Amino acid sequence: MANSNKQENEITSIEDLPNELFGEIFSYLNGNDASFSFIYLSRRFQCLVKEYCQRLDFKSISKSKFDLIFEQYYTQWCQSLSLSNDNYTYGQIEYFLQFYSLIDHFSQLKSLTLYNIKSIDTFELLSQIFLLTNLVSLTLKPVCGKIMSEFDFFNLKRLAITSCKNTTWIKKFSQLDSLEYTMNNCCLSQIVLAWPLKLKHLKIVFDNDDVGILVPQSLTYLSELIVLEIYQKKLGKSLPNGQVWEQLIRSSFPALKKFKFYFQFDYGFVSIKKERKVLSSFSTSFYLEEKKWFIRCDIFTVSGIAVIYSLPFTFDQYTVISNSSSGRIITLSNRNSTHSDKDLYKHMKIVTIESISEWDLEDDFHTKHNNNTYEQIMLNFISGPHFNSIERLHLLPNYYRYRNEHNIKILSNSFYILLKKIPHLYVLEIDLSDLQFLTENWTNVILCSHLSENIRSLILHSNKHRRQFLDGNEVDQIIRVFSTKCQYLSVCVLSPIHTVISLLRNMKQLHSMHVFAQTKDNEEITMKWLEKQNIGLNYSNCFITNHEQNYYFWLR
Amino acid sequence: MATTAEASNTTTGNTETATGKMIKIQSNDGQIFEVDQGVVEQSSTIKTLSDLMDVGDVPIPLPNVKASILGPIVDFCNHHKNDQKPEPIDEDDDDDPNKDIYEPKRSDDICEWDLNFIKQFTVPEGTLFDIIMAANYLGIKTLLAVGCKTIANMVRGKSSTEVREMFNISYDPPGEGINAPNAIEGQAGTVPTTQDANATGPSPQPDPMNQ
Repeated sequence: MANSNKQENEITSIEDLPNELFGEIFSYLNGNDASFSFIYLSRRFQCLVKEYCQRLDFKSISKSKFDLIFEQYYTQWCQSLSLSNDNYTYGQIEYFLQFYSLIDHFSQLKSLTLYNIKSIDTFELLSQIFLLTNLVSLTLKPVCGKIMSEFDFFNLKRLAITSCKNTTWIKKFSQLDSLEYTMNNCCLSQIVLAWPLKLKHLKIVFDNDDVGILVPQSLTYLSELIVLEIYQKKLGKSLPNGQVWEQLIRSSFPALKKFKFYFQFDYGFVSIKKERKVLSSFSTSFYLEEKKWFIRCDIFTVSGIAVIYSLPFTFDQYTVISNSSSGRIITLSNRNSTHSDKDLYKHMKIVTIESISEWDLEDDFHTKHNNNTYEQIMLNFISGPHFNSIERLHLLPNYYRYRNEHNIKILSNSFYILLKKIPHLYVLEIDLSDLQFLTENWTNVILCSHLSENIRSLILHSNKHRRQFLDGNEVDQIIRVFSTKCQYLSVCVLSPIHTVISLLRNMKQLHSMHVFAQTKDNEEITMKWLEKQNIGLNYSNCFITNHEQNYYFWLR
Repeated sequence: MATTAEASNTTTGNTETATGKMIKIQSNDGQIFEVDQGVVEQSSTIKTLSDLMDVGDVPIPLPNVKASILGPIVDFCNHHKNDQKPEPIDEDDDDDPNKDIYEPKRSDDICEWDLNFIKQFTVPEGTLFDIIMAANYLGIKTLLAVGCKTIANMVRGKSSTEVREMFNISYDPPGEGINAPNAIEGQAGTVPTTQDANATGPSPQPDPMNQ
């Protein structure tokens, strides 16, 4: 067709596609996916991978595949690298540091992302990063500011970091254009907020009022700001005030184009006026006419909580108080909106449903709901890729994670209804005793079979009120139910060492495992010891790290 | 000899409809399709040609697209002609310095209609690649994205062996390409601009990715 030399009846093959179209296809793939799929096909594909796949993202990869990519992919091609110690890749950064080096293998890096860095590795990593002269974009989570203050990264233009509440160290990164700063409690330093003066884009994420009330004042000198984002993760007591922000923007940020924010606040049960006052402060002519910045406020009337945020919603997390009847006020009229609802919320990834009535799980919630229904469960749902509207929160099928955080009992039937309503659910985080109860001591065939078929990540907690051990019988049941699909297992329940062996031997699909192991004096799980157990694990397909009695296995 | 597609309800001469001036386009096997401005706007190639040429009643020739592909493309554009333009949101994405420029684009967001549309094109018949190349030639970004996302979704997680089987990809000849001595240095050479016409036949190259 496109090729004039082609015979009329010749069937077009993928190899007829011009190189630039492979560039387009590869733009939807990570470098490691593209390498895995294409690098052995032919010289042409090898060159295409080199040309178009410059990002390696190892956030969820098995150990063997990780090693293979390093064997076969010429890492100096790579311009963007992502390493992570997350659940699926326990110990990956430590492993990387043992066998590879940023300087020797990734000297051309322009962008580097490191997630869940252990404090013990921080200095070594920063020493190497310091020597990456092409690096312009860096994501580090978490790193204490005290260590960061020992380094200068002169070429860096973009930094995303989770760090302490004293930000004075970051002032010396004066060349930064963009900063995303998430505050944590890594050290006991006092809250002191300071920022590089030439920032054009600043995003600050913090917990609550302690930091929140200091933020506006700390920004006064950032006259080059173009985009400002403020995200308050937890409920605040002080009310957001649009007029304070309006004055700040008028006086200090002449170039500001976008102001994105998310505040949760407690307006109290009795004073409806308070929440109206907050709304009107963000509804002045400055916001609506001059800047055309619109907001939405979701009001959870029973709990006296409201969430106010700019539109479109550009953050990845949103909290809903599910059992509280809600209202909403929106300053964006149809006249001003060019967005569909799907577009307005397309960045949202995590939805925390603070509490949800068990009756919500039934089909006709409104008719069955009554005042005696106080049995509640806490659910945290993380959205699947198709979540597209806050209005669809009640449509559970888009979520893939279930976490019963507050240990509130639900019945097997309700749990089964819940699972059926979330067909894509594959992450289950639950107390071992709850799981025993819900599966009726593993005898509920339908429920066990559903879990077998669907659960790929299982996180088992110990009962908060009594000490639990993982005995041989429980291990057998876990293996029976979860071994077919489960790729990640975390057992936070004290587990005798023989149960660890049993899990590693029989859970053949696991990519990573964590156990809280009961070891005797001077006993330690090491690779040498593991090899002696003859369960097919060795240095090539297993990497162990540990922190006290918690052992982490990155596998296969 | 040119024939006119029945579905397009062609009448003599250019017609004015509720959606504006109708334009005729002609596939490389002579079939003529009549499309409105809503369709024309989605194809940078057709739009450029219709702007540059005073086409009158003469169909715009599209020598790289056959009728069996052009027909569905017209359907695709007709379906999407009233889609909202997501400019402000895209602008949001583009100027976000917090975004890693190397991050792969999403490929899991193909809408249901598009998923069903693309299913009619297959690898064995070669039509999946025909539609991608036609979308590229006609400058229809949305269709090109649907096609490329589909291929990306098909290969993700597959080993080289599986991909070779899936797309019937030829081997480098023995002793050449990646079968050449020291070939897995991996970094030498530049991207060839044309395919090696002689690159056929099986080769003994193992695929460690599949072991």
